[in-house]
Amino acid sequence: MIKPSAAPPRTLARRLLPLQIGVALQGLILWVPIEKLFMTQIGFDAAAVGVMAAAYAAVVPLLEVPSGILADRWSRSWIMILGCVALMISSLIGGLSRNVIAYVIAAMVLGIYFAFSSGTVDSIVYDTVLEETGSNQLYETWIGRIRAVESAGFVLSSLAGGVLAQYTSTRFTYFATIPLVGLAIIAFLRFNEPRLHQAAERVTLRSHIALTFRTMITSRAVVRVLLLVATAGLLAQAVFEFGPLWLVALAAPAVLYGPYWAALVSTLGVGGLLIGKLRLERRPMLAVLIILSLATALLLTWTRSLAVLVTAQVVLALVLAIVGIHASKLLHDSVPSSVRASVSSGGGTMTWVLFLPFSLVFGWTARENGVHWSGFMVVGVVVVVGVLLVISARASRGVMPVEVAATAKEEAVEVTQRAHELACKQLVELVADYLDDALSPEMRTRFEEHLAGCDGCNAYLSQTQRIIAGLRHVSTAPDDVEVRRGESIS
Amino acid sequence: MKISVARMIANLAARGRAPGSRFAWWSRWFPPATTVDANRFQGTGDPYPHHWKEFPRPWRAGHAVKPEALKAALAALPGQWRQVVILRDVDGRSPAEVSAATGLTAEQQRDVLNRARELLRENLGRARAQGEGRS
Repeated sequence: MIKPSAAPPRTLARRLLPLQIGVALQGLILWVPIEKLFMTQIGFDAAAVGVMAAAYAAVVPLLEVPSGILADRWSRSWIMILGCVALMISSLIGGLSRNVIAYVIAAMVLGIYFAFSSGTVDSIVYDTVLEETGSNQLYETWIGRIRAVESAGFVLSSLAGGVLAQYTSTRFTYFATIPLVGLAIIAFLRFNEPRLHQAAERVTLRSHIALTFRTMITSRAVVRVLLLVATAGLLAQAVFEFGPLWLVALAAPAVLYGPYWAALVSTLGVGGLLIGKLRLERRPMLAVLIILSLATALLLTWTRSLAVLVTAQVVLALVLAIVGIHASKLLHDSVPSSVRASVSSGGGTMTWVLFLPFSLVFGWTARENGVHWSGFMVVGVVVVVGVLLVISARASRGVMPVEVAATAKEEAVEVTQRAHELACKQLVELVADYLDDALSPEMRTRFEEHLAGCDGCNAYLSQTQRIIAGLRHVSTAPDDVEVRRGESIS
Repeated sequence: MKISVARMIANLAARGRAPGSRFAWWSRWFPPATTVDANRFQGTGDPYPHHWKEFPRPWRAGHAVKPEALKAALAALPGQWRQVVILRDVDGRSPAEVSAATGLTAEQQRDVLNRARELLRENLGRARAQGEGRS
């Protein structure tokens, strides 16, 4: 929820510009649309495609946690840059490869890029917004913009990649990608990265890791929704990874891969737009989605028409994008905010873990019996997703969404604190408002009532006031120019 | 397919609503989302949820906050935060003047101020605890 008063300061837009440019350039991976075609050219069969998908599905979850810790303790920009380097190396190995083994190695290096870039942009944006505005209210606006730029890059590269492959060669698209990623590195180097995570108190590596894993295993109560998130994610991943195999089986021309891929990736954006319009808590809507996904999945098992096939895949991808967003929201609603991030990332990891055996079996059955036959695996997972959706819809009935409060800050208070009494955790958010006399009279009363009975908050307030008193004397020091230096730069 | 679809979907979902929801990923369990580190407060399973686990360590009375220590702590702040603190607390400007100088709204500059003061308090509290340990 963004209030009209929360206008983005111009410095925020200026500061995030290099990041946006970098993300867009990074999305211009020209070989993505024709990858399956190229792989077939260098001797891949369906089973080998499955092995390759499993190989990078194994690398990503292994590296996600370490790369996250590295990003938190070292530098996020540099993690992005390392990811770009992995992408360049992977494109190079991929472009040079003439057999399956070399390409699988390229795919595993690509897993490093995945692990390094996933989530890093989000945390960069989050901290930058926090640094520039003091609150995270504008986070959603900005991450939305950055995702839009990224999707535009994907769509553009899909179209350009297909055309480029048609007029040069599939191999050339790999080499053409490398300089674009190089430009992305330059953009990331020019980005002034947030330093909040450095200003905070350093914890030991061991407790950092312990905290990570403790938060990861507190998700028992939400296993069902988590499973829904993971299976929906698995299915979407499967459509994107194996969907092109149908086109290869039907001997589609290279130029068609671009628009096909562009249509597939655009479903992610369209799904995001549609979800606001659809009322998924209503049963008929849910039934339509489940029937639609089942019908399109069944089409994949028998159709031999290219047009029907592409339409079915795009519709299925769109439905899955909608279901995925819906599932993520269910997850949002079912876990407290303190563990939300880790639980939802648990869903992401579960997706990868499920995807690993899925892709091996899918590849094997596709080789033995043809890709249409493997389509039944998609149908099977669609059924599981449908069942989970129905159960979730039944379970979540009667749960009312939290009512919207007057301001974001008061909303934050209301969500965590249903009782009238203010808790310490909320009081500390309101100290500056209190000292500026900017609280509503009702909130001020609650603030003072809490203060009267809480030694901890009294100590907190008095320490803050002593800091403020101390700051008044800083100005008299002769070398305070030193302190001010840099304020106009950042 | 080389775009993590699951990640993109999760990110799309994050656009939805709920201020403060930090979607997506491991790197965020240690976030500066709250002004005071969320681990300082009791969880929902504890006897007093959202109240202090341990009260802030009281500072010895009489010892004024040293300007040198404050200056070092100020230098560690992000640029925007340092600017707001200096304008508001060192120079004693009004919120309106700070808004005009920084382009932040009155509320944004207050949020920045609240977080920046907390970082200073944390930083100085740590320095004091070390100093007392030595003496």
